[in-house]
Amino acid sequence: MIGQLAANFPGSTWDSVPKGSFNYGAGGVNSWRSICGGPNGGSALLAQLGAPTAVKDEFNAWYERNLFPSNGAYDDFAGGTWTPGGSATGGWGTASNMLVPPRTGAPQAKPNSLLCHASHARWEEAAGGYYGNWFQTAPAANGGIAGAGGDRCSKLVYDCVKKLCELINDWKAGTLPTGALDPSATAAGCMNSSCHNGATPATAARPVNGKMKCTDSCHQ
Amino acid sequence: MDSKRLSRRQFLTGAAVVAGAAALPGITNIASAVATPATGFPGVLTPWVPLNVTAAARQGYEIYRGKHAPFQSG
Repeated sequence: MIGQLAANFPGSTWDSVPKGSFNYGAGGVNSWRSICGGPNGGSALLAQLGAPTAVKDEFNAWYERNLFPSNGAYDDFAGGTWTPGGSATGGWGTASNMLVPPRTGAPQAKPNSLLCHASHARWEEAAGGYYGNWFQTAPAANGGIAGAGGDRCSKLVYDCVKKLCELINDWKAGTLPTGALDPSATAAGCMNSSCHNGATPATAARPVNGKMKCTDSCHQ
Repeated sequence: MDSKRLSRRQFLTGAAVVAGAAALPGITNIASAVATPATGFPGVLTPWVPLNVTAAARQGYEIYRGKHAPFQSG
């Protein structure tokens, strides 16, 4: 996206932004499994573009509730007009790594969280675990067992970039999303519950702030 | 090396210039130094040139797959 912004607006600041600026986000920031690189890099881009809060919230809330990965990357590949690792990739990666195609029919899971750890673990659970069928039968052409997780996250990036572009194009065309948060993160949910805004301060937990989904993530 | 050292006169002249410049209101105004930092990149991107959704998604896949997937086993 940085490359496109640079190409679309020559001479702008985007022209001088290193295209790998957000690569650190992979694996939840240098493999720390904190915030997923999708919402991380996407939020940074939206901030630099000056996007309204509704757009930013929509992107993150969509990530929480969306089933990842979609089969979009595979469908695109199967359409025959895209060979991953083709000339469009420029200097990214190496040829041998770039030619791994998307695998079709991957198990899907809702992250219910922005955290890489939760997002990936939920997907891995849906996939039957590391010793489950999806991992163990991963074709060599898709990177084998070691490539199963990478296949999922590559396709998740495809999905996130697609959504992000759509949101930005819509916003620039004058259409704003609702930016609705997960119900649990609203004043009608946990924020104003007896737990966090109780009438008896001595027994209620302290008020909290945040926009993340509360239930089915950290709180069960 | 000695030829590059400042003479007393040169030093005093330079110091006077700096002191004089500092006395100018426009230069002593430190507002810019303490102003709220910009939160977005400067420049207005108009007219907006729509992003190519498919091309961007493809490149996102390729960047991640090529750059990180070999290091992630799940």
